[in-house]
Amino acid sequence: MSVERIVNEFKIPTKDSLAERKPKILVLKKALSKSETEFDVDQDLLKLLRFMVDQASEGKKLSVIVETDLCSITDAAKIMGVTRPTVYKMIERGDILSVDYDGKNEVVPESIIAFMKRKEIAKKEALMKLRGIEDSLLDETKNLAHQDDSEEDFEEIDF
Amino acid sequence: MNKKTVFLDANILYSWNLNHLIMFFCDTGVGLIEPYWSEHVVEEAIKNICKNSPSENPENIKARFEKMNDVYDYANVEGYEGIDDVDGVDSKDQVVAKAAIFNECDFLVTNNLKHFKDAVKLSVKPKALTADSFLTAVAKKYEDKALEAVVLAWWHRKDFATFAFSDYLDMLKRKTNGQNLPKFINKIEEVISKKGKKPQEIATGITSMSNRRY
Repeated sequence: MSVERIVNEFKIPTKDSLAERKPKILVLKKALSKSETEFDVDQDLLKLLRFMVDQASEGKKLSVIVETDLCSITDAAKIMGVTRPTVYKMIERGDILSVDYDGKNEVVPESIIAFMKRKEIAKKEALMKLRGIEDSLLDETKNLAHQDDSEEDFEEIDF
Repeated sequence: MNKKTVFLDANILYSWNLNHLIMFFCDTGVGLIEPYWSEHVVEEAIKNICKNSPSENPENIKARFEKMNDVYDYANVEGYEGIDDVDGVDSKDQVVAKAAIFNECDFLVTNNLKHFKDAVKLSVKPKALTADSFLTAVAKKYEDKALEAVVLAWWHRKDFATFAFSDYLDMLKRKTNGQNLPKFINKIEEVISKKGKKPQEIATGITSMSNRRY
């Protein structure tokens, strides 16, 4: 159950009705468990509700932001271990889903998970596709590419 | 584990032995790196292979790269042509630097490092490195995974049954092989010696746990 729905369904107690904070919270917990659609209220949600009640009782403004469960292009790139332009390409090709959220292009995480699962399954097939390249390994007798002799301090590479 | 994005220059793609090894650092192996290239570098690699190995059928060479494009269907970088020239990069290597920068790669792996030394090497991204230095850096960070990649690369050779793992390491290390990887193989040998086993025992142990051989 979303926090937004809880806020809509259960009126946030006013300052007057919250003379004693603790018992009121317990009442709220009971009310939740007695609702038509039965659900458990976990400790985190209870903490959140308590915080909301506190805010309301002090007459403070309360903003409820719906968790979007979306991730940015940069985060999607980090999760998949690819570059950001690749993420855009994946969206373009329809391999992962994106939505326009608050003027920004955001990726649906479930589509990333699904894509990564498909990729894992395709690994074996990918190796099969690479078959044939190995034939060339045996034929490679010389290689004229230039080896650069410049010294590098690879100790400092942040990999 | 943070996978790194790597643009491979034509001189890296040119060597099938090196190419083959790198593929086992990618998702077809231990999944430490994501490879990128461009049509330009592939064409250059094909041109040089044809030039230096006239007995090879160019169509077969092209077909191999097509397979690589098929397996790594996001590897081919496009759309970089319009970006500004990169200062300090040789004119003929501009297309390489542009593609790597445009694609926001972490590393540009090239054995013509001097062509990029004054520019890309000094920039934050991508960092230009030789194949040897790059793979050594990977092996320093992920010792076991790097060893696994080398073993898998050896195991997936057609001649693996008659080609000892230690000979494979030697082949990658020696100078006459062109794309030699002395620092990297030294690191791998160090990892092997830490385990207190012979290279072949290590290789057998890793391959016995893998079901990936095609």
